[in-house]
Amino acid sequence: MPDTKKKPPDENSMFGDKLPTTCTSSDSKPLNKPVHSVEDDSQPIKYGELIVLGYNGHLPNGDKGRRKSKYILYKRPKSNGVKPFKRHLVTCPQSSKAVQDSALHSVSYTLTRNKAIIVEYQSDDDTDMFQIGRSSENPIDYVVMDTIPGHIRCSSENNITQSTISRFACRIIVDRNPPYTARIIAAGFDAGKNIFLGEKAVKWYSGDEIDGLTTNGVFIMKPQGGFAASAQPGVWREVSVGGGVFPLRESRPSPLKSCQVITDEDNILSDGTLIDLCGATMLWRSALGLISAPSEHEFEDLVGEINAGRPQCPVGLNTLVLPTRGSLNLHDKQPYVYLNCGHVHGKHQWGVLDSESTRTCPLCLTVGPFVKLQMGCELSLYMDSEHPTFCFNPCGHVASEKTVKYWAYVAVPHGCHGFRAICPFCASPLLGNPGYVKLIFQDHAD
Amino acid sequence: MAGLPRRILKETQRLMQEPVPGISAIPDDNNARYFHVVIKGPSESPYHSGLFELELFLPEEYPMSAPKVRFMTKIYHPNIDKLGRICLDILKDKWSPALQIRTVLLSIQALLSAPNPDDPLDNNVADLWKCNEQQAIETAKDWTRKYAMAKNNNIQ
Repeated sequence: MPDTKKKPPDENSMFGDKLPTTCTSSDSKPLNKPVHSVEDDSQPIKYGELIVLGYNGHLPNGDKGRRKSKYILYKRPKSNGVKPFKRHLVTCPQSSKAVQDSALHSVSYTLTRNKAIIVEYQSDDDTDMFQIGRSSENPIDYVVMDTIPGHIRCSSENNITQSTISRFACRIIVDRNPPYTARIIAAGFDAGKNIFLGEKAVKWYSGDEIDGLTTNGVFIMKPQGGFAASAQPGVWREVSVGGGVFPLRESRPSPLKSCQVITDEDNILSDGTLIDLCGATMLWRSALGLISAPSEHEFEDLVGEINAGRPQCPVGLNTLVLPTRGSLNLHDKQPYVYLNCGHVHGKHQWGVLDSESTRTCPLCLTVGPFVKLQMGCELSLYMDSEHPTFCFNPCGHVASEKTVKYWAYVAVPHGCHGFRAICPFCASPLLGNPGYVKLIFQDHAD
Repeated sequence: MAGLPRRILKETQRLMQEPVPGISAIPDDNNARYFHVVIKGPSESPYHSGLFELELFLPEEYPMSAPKVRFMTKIYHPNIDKLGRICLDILKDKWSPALQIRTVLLSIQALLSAPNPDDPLDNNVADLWKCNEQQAIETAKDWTRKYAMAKNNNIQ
């Protein structure tokens, strides 16, 4: 390691600490050999993270194996990517060699009962493949189940009766060489390394092009201006089995493909791209983009600075404490907020009108819900490293101002043709306008 | 005193350490919920240079309900009656537990600076205040001299 003490703590040294290989490799782009030798004896290169919206650092019943709230994509020891190779027109796809050969990746587009196009894939030494879906079979790297929003979540997981997420929903192909471009493609290969698009699936074939869409589709949304404090949500698009980008269908499983391929957009995952699998929405954070998210340590400092002001409950006059990890059992130190005015209090019983949702704030007499504050702990969802001083309505999840404002502005697919803004930490639909509130602490009172 | 809520302890402590200018509030030796209060008549008011004694009691439900406050020193004021009861919204329906002994006493001090004859408690005083303000102010000054200055004469 270079001696960082002598250098000012500028951007370069920060990059050097976190992503040594990215930096060195960009200097020596044409030659990959020396880069590989560096990689071999250091940690595997991190491409990025997929974070399912609605979980605050872990699944409600804990992360288990390939089922977890967040999946980190690392460079594989050996490439496993595939790319289209040959196309065949067959009369009986089930008996064709590409389908039957379990070592061979293929996509079958059934045109009629006895006519199908089979695209044979071959391995690609330059890419890694990551598959995502509901299936727990081996080919799925990241098992994603339907997200139950926090406000209707209960301890048992039995309340999903019918999933809308495909068992082999999508795959991500990442270039093994810098800048590690990641692309998303609809549908994943099953255990037999096949993808079948049935007779009813949306597909189109013209002499030199064959492509199709999966039943519920894979949607992506790239924020404009990157995933930064100034980001604006972009337009939702659908990705095809061939990796093309299309406007959304009229409703989700609609058999009608909407107009034309959008040629000036692509399926490359940029930092902050949202991926919707119809039932769960994931956020893609690139390794480089994550530099702007607060580290665990920075976050503790930010929360510590708020707690250093010794915020007080204006009624109990007791000190309140913002937790850094989930909602620990803080007893009377636990902060609560009046969602319509933002005044932070401890728990007390004054001003209950009809129910817990209509209470009068002792400080300003505004009537509104009174909810427990919970920290937004999944730091990959943060837009910046500022103090967490805002919270979402109605769930009370706390994050930085830019983070809360961005997510309140993002419409996330819901059901077959609906969109709504949700809290990214629990997936509860936001209430009211604007769907968040600035926290007002009674601090520095002593 | 056992079982005194933490909030009352904290309020008392702060009243002792950082008293409000022109106001003193000292808890009774035998009852920590009972305060002996003295408010100085605000300058540029008819009560100027008077020292008004009040009693303040924190009921069992405090701070969920308002403290009970009463003037012990006789005072000529449209919002304070002969028994020393005070007509002040925050002591009644506008009470909020975010208010404190300190804020209540400040509000009473402000009421001395700005009598409000349109929301009277003592109608006779209020009537005079409205029809002949000059005479009402003179009476208030007179009462202040009589009852709020000679220290030993003013306890009812």
